[in-house]
Amino acid sequence: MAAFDRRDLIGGLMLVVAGAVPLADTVTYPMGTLKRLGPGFFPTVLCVMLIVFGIVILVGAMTRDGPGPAVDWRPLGSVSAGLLVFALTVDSLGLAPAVVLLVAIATLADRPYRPRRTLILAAILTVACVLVFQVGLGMKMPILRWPF
Amino acid sequence: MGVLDNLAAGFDVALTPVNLFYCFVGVFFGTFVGTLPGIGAMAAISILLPITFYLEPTAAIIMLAGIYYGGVAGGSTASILLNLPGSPSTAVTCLDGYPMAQKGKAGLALLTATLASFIGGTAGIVILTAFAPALAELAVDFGPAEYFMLTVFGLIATATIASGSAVKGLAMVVLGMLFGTVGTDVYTAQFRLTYGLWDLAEGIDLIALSLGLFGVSEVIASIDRIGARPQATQRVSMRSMLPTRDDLRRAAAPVLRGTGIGSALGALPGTGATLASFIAYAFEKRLARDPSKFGKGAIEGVAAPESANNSAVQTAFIPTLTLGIPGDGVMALMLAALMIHGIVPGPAVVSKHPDLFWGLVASFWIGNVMLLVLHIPLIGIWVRLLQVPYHLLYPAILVLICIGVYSVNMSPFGVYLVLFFGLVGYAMRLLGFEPAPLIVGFVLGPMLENHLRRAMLLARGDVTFFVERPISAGLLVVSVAVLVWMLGSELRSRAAGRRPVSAPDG
Repeated sequence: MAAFDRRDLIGGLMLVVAGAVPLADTVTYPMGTLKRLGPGFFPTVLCVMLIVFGIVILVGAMTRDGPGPAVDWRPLGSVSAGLLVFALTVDSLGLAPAVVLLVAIATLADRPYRPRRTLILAAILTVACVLVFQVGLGMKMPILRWPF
Repeated sequence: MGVLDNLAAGFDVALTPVNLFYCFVGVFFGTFVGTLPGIGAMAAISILLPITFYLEPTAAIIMLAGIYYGGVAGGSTASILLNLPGSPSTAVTCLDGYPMAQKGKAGLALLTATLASFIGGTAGIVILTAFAPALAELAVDFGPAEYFMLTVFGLIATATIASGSAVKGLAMVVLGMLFGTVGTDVYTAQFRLTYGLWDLAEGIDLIALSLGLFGVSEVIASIDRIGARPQATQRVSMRSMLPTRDDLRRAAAPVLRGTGIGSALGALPGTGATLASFIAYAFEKRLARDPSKFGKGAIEGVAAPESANNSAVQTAFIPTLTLGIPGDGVMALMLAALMIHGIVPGPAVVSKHPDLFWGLVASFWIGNVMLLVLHIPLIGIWVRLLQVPYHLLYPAILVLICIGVYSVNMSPFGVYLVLFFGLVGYAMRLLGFEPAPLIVGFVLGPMLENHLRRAMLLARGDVTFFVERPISAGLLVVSVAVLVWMLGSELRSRAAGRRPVSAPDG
């Protein structure tokens, strides 16, 4: 069993997937003729190129050794969850609760987690957002909603 | 009208209170985010992009440009005081700037960086003023074939020269173009890659894409890295900035050489401020009688890269404004901002929108003077700003990102897109793919497809059309040459058993 450059192995594989998945769709669009290129031509060429680049990187990764990527799981999880909850709540609950939830969840990445500091920060940011975006720039965003 | 008349008219535009105000906002905000590590000019421009919808195009572009060159100038503060680059193009400044600060010469290092930036920036503007209109005149006769080949050349140069790996850079350009095809095809109204999502019918929102790639992924990658860093403790007084006669003498020549290198590289596609700063530093080190003093606090090691990156920032506007070919990710955003305002980038910008072009050029002069004021008497503000801990900063950045993208369509869909591209961007960061070529591909991809389809229609399906026209054929040859050369040098360096040098991201 030979050694692999694990970082490029993953990278190459992801490129192949990123090319193959849309390819399944783009080949169903009209290709057109050389004179009148259809909507399928350009994206199909791009997908094929992505797959080729992916394979080139994969082959290169098999010829040498290398470490895998070091993932910061905690920040990755907390920031993603914070954004997701903001997107889920901003329309139903309004801006203020969504900002508070975003800050509370995203800062779970901090070690140690300080709930009091987070609450103060969330409050300041919420007030600042309302002042800047609602009062200052005149954007019409619902601040607080009662969905029930 | 001569250049000076045009420039005078430009100053009339740039000196109106509104444009002056947005120039200051841009330069100030740029210095702000440039100083802070963990948020770059790309993220800052993306955050402010929705606000520019409400502005005149000239004011909008003046502000966005100010963020860019302000950010590059501001990045040196963190490099010198914390050994942590505030923006990628000031990473080299750490090498000698931080040792200078440790020797108690932080003030001198900051002043050197500011003056070198000012001189480099000013020289870059002179070159922009002199060459951009001429280049634009040259490109007036370009047809779809020439533009197609020019775009191909720009994409190849961006993908291969600036990134660590040519293959990875090319893959990112192609991926960016693929993201660019999402939405309704303008010729046939065919939905492409929308996967049944109505929100994608008009394509992927550039703001969501760049905020995810540069904002969210940068935050994720910085929380553990910057969170535990030492705080800046130095106090920098005006008195500590005063250089000796010897300092000035040693810094003068490196500034001039750095300016030359930066101006040349900035104007080429694919070679931006970051590469210019690296090359200027390496050049000084090779030229020095005693190379061993570099890395230990040599003033030349601050002067050369700082003048190079700031002159490159200014000349980078030449291909962007005259040919519509952005050299890096920031220029791609700038181009997109112009298009949002209905201005078609290309040689016609100089002739059809002289107030915008010359107003922008004039605003560069004004902005660079503002930078001097922001950095010399007010340096204390930025030093204190570096004392704000990152764990208070990044929640604020995330809130700004979320509200910014939500406000574009008043729909949470943009936030989901930001999340998606944040994850994509973080994965790319981990796997050694650079985001800048992706965003250039995303902006240029739809134009490339458009040029291709129009050229094929004009040529009645004859592929030799691209070779028969001399300029198009010449660009094709240059593109292939760059491609072969870069792939070849990558193969050679692989064979020699070393990884290609890549610029660290910030």
